[in-house]
Amino acid sequence: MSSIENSATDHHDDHEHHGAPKGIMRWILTTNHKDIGSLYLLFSLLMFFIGGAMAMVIRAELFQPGLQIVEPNFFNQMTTVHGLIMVFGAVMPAFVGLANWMVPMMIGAPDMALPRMNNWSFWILPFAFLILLMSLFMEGGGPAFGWTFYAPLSTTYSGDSTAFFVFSVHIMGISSIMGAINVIVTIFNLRAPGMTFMKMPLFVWTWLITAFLLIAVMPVLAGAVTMVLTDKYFATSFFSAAGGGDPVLFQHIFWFFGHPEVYIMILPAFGIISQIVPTFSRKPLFGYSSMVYATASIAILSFMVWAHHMFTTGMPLAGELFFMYFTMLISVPTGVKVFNWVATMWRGALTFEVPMMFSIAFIVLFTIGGLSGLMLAITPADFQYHDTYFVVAHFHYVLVTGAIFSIMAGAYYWLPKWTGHMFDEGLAKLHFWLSLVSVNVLFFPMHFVGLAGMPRRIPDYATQFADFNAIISIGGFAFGLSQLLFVAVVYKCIKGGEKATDQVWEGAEGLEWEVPSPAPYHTFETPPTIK
Amino acid sequence: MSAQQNTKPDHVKLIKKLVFTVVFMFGFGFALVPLYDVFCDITGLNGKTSNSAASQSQVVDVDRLVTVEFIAHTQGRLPWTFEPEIKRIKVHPGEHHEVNF
Repeated sequence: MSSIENSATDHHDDHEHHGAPKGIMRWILTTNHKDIGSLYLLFSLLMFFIGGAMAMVIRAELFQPGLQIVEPNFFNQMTTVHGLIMVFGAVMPAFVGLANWMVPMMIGAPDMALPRMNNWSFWILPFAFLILLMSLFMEGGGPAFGWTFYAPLSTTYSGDSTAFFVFSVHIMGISSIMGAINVIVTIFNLRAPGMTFMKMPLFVWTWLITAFLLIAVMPVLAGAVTMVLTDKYFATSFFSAAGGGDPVLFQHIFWFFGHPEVYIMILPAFGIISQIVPTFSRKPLFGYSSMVYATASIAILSFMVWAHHMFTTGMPLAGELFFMYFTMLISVPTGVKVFNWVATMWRGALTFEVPMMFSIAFIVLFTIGGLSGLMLAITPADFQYHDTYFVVAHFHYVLVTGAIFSIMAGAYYWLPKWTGHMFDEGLAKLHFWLSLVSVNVLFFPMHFVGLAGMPRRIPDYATQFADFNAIISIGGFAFGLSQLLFVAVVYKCIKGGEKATDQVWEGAEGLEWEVPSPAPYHTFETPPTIK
Repeated sequence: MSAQQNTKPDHVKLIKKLVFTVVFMFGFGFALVPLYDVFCDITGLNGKTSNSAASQSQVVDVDRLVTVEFIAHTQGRLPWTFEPEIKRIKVHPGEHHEVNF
């Protein structure tokens, strides 16, 4: 589609300011988008395993009915912090890391627009999670009110760690907002000449729209946690009926943030899949502009559906109907996307390298998650499904086999470009197949126990769910262990391996495949010309 | 390099707009507190529950039979046993029953 002339970029590298500095200070002081991208990705991998370890505790406790391993209060801390870590520590930083690495290279920019702020937005993140994780070891334990921190659980009935929770969410929010501002300024101002908006790769488009969602809703989350803080410690009554407030108001404000947040975690995934599917189908993406418009309409609609999380709060009928229909409307642009991916593969010259395998798994399994979402959108049915394992099955299908699988796909897709080496494909395929099987053993039976009435967020359950829960737990342990293979693949790939070509994948097109592999420390110091 | 210097002012302008959006949305989060009440007043929708007590149906539905199961457990290693006397009971919806623990 586009070709570039960047022979001038190579001899900049041996200039003394332009090589990568050595030692630990390189990573602490870096303003290089590739270094910061790597930091984000490694950090999110670490958080993925910490959050995953908490999931293992949850599944171990639920392996059998009754209480065996942990106290109910600790169990609640595990579900809460597992959710917070996975949402804010694993999925979101992984996408920001991919954006840092790939957005400048995809639009022909030398770096992110605001490199010093970029350094800040990464380096405050470890402290946020340190605060959150430390609160688990304090007297009284960490937050135990669910990642949604509904009032009055988080105000009247919460422990003293709530202040730490609020502070850490504030820091995570500031980090996300700074990252989003950086992405927007980079995409608006640093596109190479000739890189018009409608020529941008879809990963860049989806991230641009995600960044706008982030600056629109992260401040609302900051407001919500601030209100929780003042309600708990400074005698305000935003959410306390005794003082003239309203606990349902909390849910309205939280989900006004919370629903766009779920699209923040899936739109970049759509972008990654839209990069990978054309490469391994050896065809341009089907319906590029409809993909862009579908992404934008999902983003706009995401602000109009928040109350579908609260059908059981006693909403008026008009509200229930409005939120039911608008929620269902979102399946239209999402369907457009799934259709376009399938149409891209239609009659393409398909090959099944590991990124493509993860992408196809994404398309199938994300669609399952989308369909259970549609079931939950039906208001009268939601009264039955609300707060059951069916909901747990739904959001793990869209977040694990959706967001996480897309991150895995993206990591395998770009890993040879980052390290300059091909990864061990046999090991990666083993990782894929083990993950694919175990993730379905883990999450699919949750649909059944949910429909049969097993509530979520409980450490013990009625005995008729015992067999299914044992199966779910076995799937959980298998999925958790399989992810260690990913670490092995990444480690081996960084250490060495077969030399990757510049294009890496035969069908790959775009600016990132025209720079050498591994990508030099500085790329596109002279903007490429896009024909 | 000159191209980059040209884009610097653009950065500042754009950043100002974006930061304004962030501050505005932070304020908007708090503005939602009165806005929900205003919205309910204007549209006549009342999200808050009314103060009238709900009337309970006294009719026993003898056509349906519902199985209710009971479980109980004690915190940690407390030296008690606390269990339901009957593990499960079949009732018609609307019936009254007492179960001892």
